[in-house]
Amino acid sequence: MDSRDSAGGKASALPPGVSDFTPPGAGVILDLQARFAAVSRRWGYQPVITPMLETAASVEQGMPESRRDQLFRLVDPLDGRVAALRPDITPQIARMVAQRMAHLPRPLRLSYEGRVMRHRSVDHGEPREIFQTGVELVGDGGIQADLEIIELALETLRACGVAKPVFDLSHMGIVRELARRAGLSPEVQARVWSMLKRKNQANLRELLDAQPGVDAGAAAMLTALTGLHGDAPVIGRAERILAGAGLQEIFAQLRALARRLIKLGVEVSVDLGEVRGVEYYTGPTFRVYAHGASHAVASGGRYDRLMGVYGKDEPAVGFALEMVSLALLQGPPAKSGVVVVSDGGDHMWATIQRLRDQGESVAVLHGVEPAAAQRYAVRHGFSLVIVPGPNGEVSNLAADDSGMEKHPGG
Amino acid sequence: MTEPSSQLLRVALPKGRLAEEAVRLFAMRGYDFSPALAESRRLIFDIPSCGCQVFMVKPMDVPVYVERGVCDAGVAGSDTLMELGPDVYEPLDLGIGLCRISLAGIAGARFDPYRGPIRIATKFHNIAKRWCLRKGFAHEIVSLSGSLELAPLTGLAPWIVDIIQTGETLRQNGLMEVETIAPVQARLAVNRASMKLKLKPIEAMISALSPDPAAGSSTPAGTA
Repeated sequence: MDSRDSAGGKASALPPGVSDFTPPGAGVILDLQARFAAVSRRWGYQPVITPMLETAASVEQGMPESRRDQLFRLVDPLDGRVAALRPDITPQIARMVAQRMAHLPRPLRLSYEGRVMRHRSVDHGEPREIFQTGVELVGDGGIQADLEIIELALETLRACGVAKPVFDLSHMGIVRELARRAGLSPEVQARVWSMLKRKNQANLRELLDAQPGVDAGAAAMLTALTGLHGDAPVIGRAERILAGAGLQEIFAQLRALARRLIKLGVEVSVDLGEVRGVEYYTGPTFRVYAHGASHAVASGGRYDRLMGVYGKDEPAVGFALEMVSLALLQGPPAKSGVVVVSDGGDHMWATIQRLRDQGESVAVLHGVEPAAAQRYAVRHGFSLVIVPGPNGEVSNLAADDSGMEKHPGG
Repeated sequence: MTEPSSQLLRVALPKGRLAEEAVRLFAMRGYDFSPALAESRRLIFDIPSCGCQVFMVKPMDVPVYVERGVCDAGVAGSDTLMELGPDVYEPLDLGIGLCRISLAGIAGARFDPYRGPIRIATKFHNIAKRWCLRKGFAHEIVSLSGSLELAPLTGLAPWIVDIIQTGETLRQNGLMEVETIAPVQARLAVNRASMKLKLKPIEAMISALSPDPAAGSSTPAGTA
């Protein structure tokens, strides 16, 4: 770490990669979470809460080797053992399901929201504290479970103001099977993933050509994956190009998902060379993009191996919202709420109580001039100011920069 | 982000050496970006005839504009992509801007990486570091922003990692190439979200720029 950045600053400076969220930004995020919670509850999902702290050993079990350097570890003052701040909520749910919910009938429908800590480079301002909001459907390995998660993601995003999402469908079964057929060593496989991730066909072909003992047919198919993305007909093209690789069931699943989304009026794209999350996902996956956002706003898929890490193997599928991308898509929040200047009189308190009973947000100021109350309302995003009139009546003022005119009392 | 300009495909081109070559290539494939070369001080050019908006940016910055989604696509040297490692698609080698990134030093000097840490001056900190790690060389990197040839001549660092095109600059400064680290050429870089959200125009561009028309996907270019 650069000592000039950390030690030189004030003692009260935040560590790199974490943020405060002041109003109105914090309210935007909480509002999105509330909409998520409302939709997932209607679909029968029940919230779970997992702890901030786990033993490092437990967390490492559910984490690919390559990501273990992302852990924030600390010594538990209680017993001197190494604990870790949670880097991800889904593995916690896998642990919880194994330890506490093994006896319940399947499927389990669970929702969660929380923040996790991951250590990584902050050179470009990447956050180390990450919002996670999502659902898991545990114990159903059928395509209907994948469909349910995708439809729930769609409805959640619509509730969050994403009117025209683009769903990008992938299937980790394809890259996994082709890599197996090609007979790649783990080191070569890691480099193949990194080139597929960039759709870098030229370098991938070069790399695979240079590997002795790699199955040429499977290698050619892996290379072809860099070009197998686009709209839904890509599935048909892929079936021809990847024929004979035992992928029929996978194509049937992809077709079913694409067909349903198209029927729901959603724009679908397909990306069979997608490898993000390949250590974790085992089946269909999806990422959702929204016009105006330069990153995905949601992602999810099937992961049938994680539950077995903590208990018995069982299928699972889920999705999570990208809260920060979603929040950036929201316009500035509409002004709402009322600032009331109270003179301590009973009639003002009655007004305040009535407004609060109506569900209005009411902030009370004492002993300030109307102009000051208006400035206060503008700066804090309130839409209305109520002041006591000269004859004891109540007057409304608009809270905007220009208008100082009085409105009839009420 | 729904103003009309976002309907155009936003393309980042590298200012300088590579700009003319890139514009020539695009012109041959149906994208006339020549207005972008006509005015050297302007940085943004609307080219409605091919549905594009062209941004002239520093070569090292092309990956940044594309990764952050300010541009949908861009022409970036594979050296800058290697150096910055941006999270973008790199679907196409463009066959222009051909050169290599190499280790060089004073002509006749003996490169002995096992006598102690080798000191390397470079603009390509990450490439130099990764190459040393891969080779198992102890190393010390001096980050400079240009005129690297000066470093061995002044004793700042006996070795440099730099782009070599013909080797003429090295020769004129009494330097020689020791080892090629990687071949370099310009690539089309594409933003991840744009690839999904502006699928048709981006597919058309990839297909038009592909040397082998069968390798690309669908419609010809210039139809927007």
